Amino acid sequence: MKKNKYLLLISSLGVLALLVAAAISENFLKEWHAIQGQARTQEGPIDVKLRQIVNPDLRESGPLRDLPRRNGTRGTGPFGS
Amino acid sequence: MTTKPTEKRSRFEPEPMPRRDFLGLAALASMAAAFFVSMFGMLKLPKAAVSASPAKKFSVALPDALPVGEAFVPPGRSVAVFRDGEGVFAISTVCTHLGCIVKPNANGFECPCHGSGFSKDGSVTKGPAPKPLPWLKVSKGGSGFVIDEEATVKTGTKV
Amino acid sequence: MGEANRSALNEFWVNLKSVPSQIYRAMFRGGAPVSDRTRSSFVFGNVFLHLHSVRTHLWSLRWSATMGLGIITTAAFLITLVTGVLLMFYYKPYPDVAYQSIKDIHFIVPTGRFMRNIHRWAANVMVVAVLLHMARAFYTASYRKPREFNWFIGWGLLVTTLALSFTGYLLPWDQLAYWAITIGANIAQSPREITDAMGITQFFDIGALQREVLLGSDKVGEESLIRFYLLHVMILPIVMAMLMAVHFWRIRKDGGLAKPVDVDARVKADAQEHYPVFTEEPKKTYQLAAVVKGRTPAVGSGPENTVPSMPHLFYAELGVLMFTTLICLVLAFVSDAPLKELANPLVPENPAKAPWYFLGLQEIVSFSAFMGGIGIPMLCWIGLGLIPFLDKETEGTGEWFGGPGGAKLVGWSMIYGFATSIAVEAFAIRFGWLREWFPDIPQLVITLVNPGTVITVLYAGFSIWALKRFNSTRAGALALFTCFLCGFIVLTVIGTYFRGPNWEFFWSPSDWSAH
Repeated sequence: MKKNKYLLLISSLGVLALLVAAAISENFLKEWHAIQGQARTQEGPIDVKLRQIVNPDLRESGPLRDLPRRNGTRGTGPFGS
Repeated sequence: MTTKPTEKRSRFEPEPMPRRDFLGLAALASMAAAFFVSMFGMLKLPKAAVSASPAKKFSVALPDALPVGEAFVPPGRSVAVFRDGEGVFAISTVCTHLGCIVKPNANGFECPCHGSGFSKDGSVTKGPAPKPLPWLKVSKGGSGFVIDEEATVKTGTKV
Repeated sequence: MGEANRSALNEFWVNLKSVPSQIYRAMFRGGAPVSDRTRSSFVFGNVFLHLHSVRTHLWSLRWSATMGLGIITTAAFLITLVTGVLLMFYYKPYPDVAYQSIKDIHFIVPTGRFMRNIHRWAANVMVVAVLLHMARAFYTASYRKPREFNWFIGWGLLVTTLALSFTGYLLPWDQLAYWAITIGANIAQSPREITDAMGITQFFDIGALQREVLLGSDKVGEESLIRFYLLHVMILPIVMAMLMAVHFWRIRKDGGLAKPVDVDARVKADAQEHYPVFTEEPKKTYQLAAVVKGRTPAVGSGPENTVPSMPHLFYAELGVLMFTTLICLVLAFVSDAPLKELANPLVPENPAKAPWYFLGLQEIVSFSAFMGGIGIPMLCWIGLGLIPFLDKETEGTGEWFGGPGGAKLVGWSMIYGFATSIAVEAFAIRFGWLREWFPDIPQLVITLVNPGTVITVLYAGFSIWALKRFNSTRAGALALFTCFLCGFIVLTVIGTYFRGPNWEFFWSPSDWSAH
């Protein structure tokens, strides 16, 4: 039984460690956090939205499908200009 | 369900099953029949009566400058259309092995999935394909020619 | 009156205070599980635990008995269940939209990528574990009486596991998924190769019917996606849960794990640690107040050398559960699930490969669609299912590689199994096959004579030799099973690592020519 208890202990600690590691990479290490951090205008950071196109020059930010209709620009990437 | 009262009963078999229980058997058999017929009905449902895919007949306008031996692939279709001195013909580009889309090349067609090779007229030259590529029915009309992906014609039929 | 009121109020107050402890006591029908006795009544009184027997034999608790493979499979299933339900929050089963939603899960949904990775890895772990679990049951001859039916159920569980994994493969709707499923669906159509050769396709087109029911259309499209989704999240999990319930129930009813006849002489409980609870062997057991006749596995043999399942077995099960979770998490952490570009029905992937566990089949499919996709797999399937009814010997039950021939025969079978499959494949890759030599050869000849069938015949011959040599069906089964396992490994490895664009042979993926 001791062997099984050790198996349970070590596996559970391993799972815990991995969950913590995953939480850290999820919350702090994703590259879009850094990109998001650069996306600022004079008024402050730009909101995050689904399938977003950001145009810092026009201070426009919104879902992909709305943006071209609204101001006639066509997004080419996350920072289509 | 009657048993002869004189029969000796065991503690383990207090009420033996009567040999002929017509009512019980008929009831069970009709339940089984109802079950199987309903199963049959339920299995009918997943088999679509009408295929939801787009029309298999379409018209195609061939470019005037299509060189002899070069394939013209209408956009969105898995058909290669050719023109030579004798007329126009269409060969399906769906591999007869496992349905991958074959690519026209200098010697005919080649399949990217399992390496089947076909000659210019669609006959198998290499690989696991069991049958040659079918020739499809071409007729004049529409914006030039009408190709029917469902109707195959004999190899060598040109319009 | 005032006094009565006061005492009722008082009683209410006392009851209210003791609510938590009352709930705790009500949870355990036989009292809190603190002694071996109350733990036992807890196990058989609890709806989730009563599938376990109250006491477990020491033989079954050794790690080498099962290597925990059944529990690993179950644990992997539970992990896919939990992560799968989570993925369903965002997944939308419609072409193109499906791809976008997987992309959202991958990039935007909180923890989405991690959950999807875990789901994918747990599914792969489950496929591997279920195959190894089957091999364990075979090599320890655990399929024998009275466990024949449970082998049968396990056989169904294997098919269900592969089907679940395969239906899940289409859902991301990327190029990888689309072409893998196109090939899979066309394999379902491959009986046409036979009906065509016999010239009866127009009257009896079983191949096209199978394909049409699977896809709901004549090619992989929106109907196919919703069908695969329905199978993946509803029909197959229900089938799986039902089969699993029967599987577990029968383990218990068939007397736990298969054990050698002289097991009690081999394992002795430590008298210091385990006090014997029974001093006499029971002569019969009673079920349903003695109305039902029959023997339970404990009749005639005392339950000695057993220990209480709680906690001994439960520590083992929980340990394996967490170990499986750890494996899945590690894999999910280091390797992302693939997501290629959006499915394009007009441009096949090159090479287009099925899921890895079908690549062995795809390797033989590249010679004959029918034999590789239907003929040989069916033969293996039926053969596997019939094993317990063909081998009725008793020698070696419950022991690794038990039976005539034993581990030595298995070793030789491995060498033979690897050598023949590699030799036949090497020959076919180096020199080509019949059509390269005789371009006009009829398809029926290729269907009958191709590397897949040649390997099968060689294996069958070896098995018959072993059967005669040891004069034992078990020896024949050991040889055949081992050979097919080796063949499966060889073909899968070749299909996975050595086949490139146009299914040509490459020593390494870095040599693939650009297309």
